[in-house]
Amino acid sequence: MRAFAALFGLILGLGLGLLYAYVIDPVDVADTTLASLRVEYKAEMTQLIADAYAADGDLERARARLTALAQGDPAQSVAALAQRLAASGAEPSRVQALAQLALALGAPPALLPSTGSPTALPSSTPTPTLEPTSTAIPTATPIPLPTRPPSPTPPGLFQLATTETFCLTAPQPLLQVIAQDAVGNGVPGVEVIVEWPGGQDRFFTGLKPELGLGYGDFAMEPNLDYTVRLTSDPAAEYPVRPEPCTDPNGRQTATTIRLIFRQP
Amino acid sequence: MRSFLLFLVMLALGVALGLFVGWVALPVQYVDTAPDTLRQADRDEVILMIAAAYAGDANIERARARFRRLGLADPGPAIVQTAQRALANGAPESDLRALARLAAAFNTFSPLLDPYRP
Repeated sequence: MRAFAALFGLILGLGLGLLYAYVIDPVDVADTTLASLRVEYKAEMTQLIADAYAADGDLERARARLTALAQGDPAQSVAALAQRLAASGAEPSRVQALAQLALALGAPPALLPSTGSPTALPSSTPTPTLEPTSTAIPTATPIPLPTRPPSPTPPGLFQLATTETFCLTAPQPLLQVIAQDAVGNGVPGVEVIVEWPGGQDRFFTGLKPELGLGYGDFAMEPNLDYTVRLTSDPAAEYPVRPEPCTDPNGRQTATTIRLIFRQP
Repeated sequence: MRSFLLFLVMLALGVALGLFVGWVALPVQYVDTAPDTLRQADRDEVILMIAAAYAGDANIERARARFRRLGLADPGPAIVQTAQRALANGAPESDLRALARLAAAFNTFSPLLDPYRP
């Protein structure tokens, strides 16, 4: 009888204690960290870090700040944001700040949108003299546009050179196809066929020139098997499947699969 | 009677254990939070970044929008407080200059920042 009373009291007390601590009066939503921010706020912070880096040129500080955001590899996360902003038509100066930071962090130039010539960074001890007037806003850098629309005629056979998979904080899995000539220049107008169980779609490289003349992409559904083919060589099939990635916080993020085709 | 007393003792012990687990050992973990809930150290770091970015682009509206994300409609006092902590922590002079410049842009002046004003 005593043992039952003791056990019942302990279990009831534990339940009441947990109810109070988790439901009635939980730990306040305060004192959170940069790592716990929602994805869109992390993107804003990444932009802020890039803008600060563009002003002070302190790479180690920028790296430490990006690490605090816990978005995985800093170079890739910055490059991915630069691509997304470029694709959404964001202000070129902001894309350029991100691209500069991604390059400084070691991101391959192929990952970055084209934003024109990079601007030299200031020294690490800036002595700002500008006054906060509207004339001090930096001039937007125009994104180069292609001189001709992509042609649907494939300019030759391609071979798959590289397959890369990235875990990025993107809203949806993305298939990226980059067509290059023998020396690595982007080739526009290459038609890509994407097939999946019950469906098919096509796209061309070069329709997003801000991401490179040989660049094309396609939004995929997670956990679905796709087959990628080039019209110039329809016999060659490249299967891809976007498996969800898990970020350092244990949350699942979208996958980007990049296929780089090169002319021999 | 003894059984009832034992029940009460174990009940109290259970409550204490539950509170310890819920508040200390395994507290609620918040994810997908907003910047206005950031802890002081991270908030200071964000304010330093805003100051550095403002030193580069002099875009006061962009800085104001970033402060609104932190829940600061009037950022002047927060900038001065950040400068106080930065000074106490031995922050580089460039940080204090950027903070002084940003504070001035929001019409906030402090003797602390006077030596660093442009």
